[in-house]
Amino acid sequence: MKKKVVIISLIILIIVAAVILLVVSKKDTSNTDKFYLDREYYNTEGKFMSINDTELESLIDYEKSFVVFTYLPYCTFSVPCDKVFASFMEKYGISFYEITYDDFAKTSSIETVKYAPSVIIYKDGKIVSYLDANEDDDLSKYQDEEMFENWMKEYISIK
Amino acid sequence: MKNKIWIIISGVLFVCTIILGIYAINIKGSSEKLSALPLPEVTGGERGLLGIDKNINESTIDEYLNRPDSVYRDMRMLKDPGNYEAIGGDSYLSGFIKGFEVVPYPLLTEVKGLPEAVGDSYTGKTLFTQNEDGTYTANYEESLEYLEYYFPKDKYIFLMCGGGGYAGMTKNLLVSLGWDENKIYDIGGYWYYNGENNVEVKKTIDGKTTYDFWKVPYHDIDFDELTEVK
Repeated sequence: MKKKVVIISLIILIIVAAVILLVVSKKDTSNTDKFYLDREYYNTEGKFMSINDTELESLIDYEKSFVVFTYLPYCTFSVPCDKVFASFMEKYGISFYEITYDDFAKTSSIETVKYAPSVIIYKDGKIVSYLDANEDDDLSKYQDEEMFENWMKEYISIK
Repeated sequence: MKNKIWIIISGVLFVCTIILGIYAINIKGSSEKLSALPLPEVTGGERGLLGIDKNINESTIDEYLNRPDSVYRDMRMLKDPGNYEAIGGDSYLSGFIKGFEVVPYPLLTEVKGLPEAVGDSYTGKTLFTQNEDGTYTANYEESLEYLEYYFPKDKYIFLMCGGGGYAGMTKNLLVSLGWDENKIYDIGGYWYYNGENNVEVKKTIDGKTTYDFWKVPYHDIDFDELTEVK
């Protein structure tokens, strides 16, 4: 009888531990704590820097913290979102990378970010947030400078 | 006695075969019946601004190909005169979805709103001119007939391009000229397509890039053969 109680208790403990681990790991993934990008992206002219798929994978492999804008060269919108993003960059002297969607789709990040245009925030080589071109909730962040700035400031610290 | 048993078994097998055959024919028949299409519904976000459909798009189009009640049109040019390389793009049609036929949107009406770095796309003759109030004027007597031929009003029309932009503009053009908006789907762009019906046109061998345009079902317009509206 004692043995049965011990075994059952152990099983319950394992289940509880697993649930806690699951919850904690989910929390870690979402990670909404503000952070600094790598220092080379601050105090700049606030311009886009073009990269290709190999260079993006390299940044990810080196666990850099940076921002990428991926775009389709063919489609224009009533409000050009790159100008919204550029306005933020110039205001705070922060540089973003830019990569064509064609190249972006060759990287591991395509598993998370399916559509362009998008701005993707990386922390230590991992995606912490991005703008989804398919979501109404993100539409205003593409078109309004203040909304975009508010979203960026949720994640990154502005020096 | 043995013979009787064999006769009975053979008879039962024969009847079973007949029944299975009838069943198989019915299954085949029912699978050939076309499923109803969902009404066009624009997706959310930035893609929604281009008019891309929520339900029938790059990730689901394979389920809707080869329908006899539909036509499939890719609105890109084989080589777009715009300098897309200036913004990291590719001016060439590098691939398409099998079943789609290319009918270039820039030949239908003027392309507006391209990024400055790209410059102008095709600036030659077009079937229609867009007026300031958003309506269209035919430049040729055959303009409407051309559209009715390649975009028949009695069919469902699936449109695509590189990113969904030209496709959306085409839908606007057709609806403006009297097409039923509920029969036209902007399914988005080739750049997002990862399905089973991809046809590669661009080839890069030993660093040299070529394009197998001969694979592309392409419909050009010879404007010299058309009658200009005076």
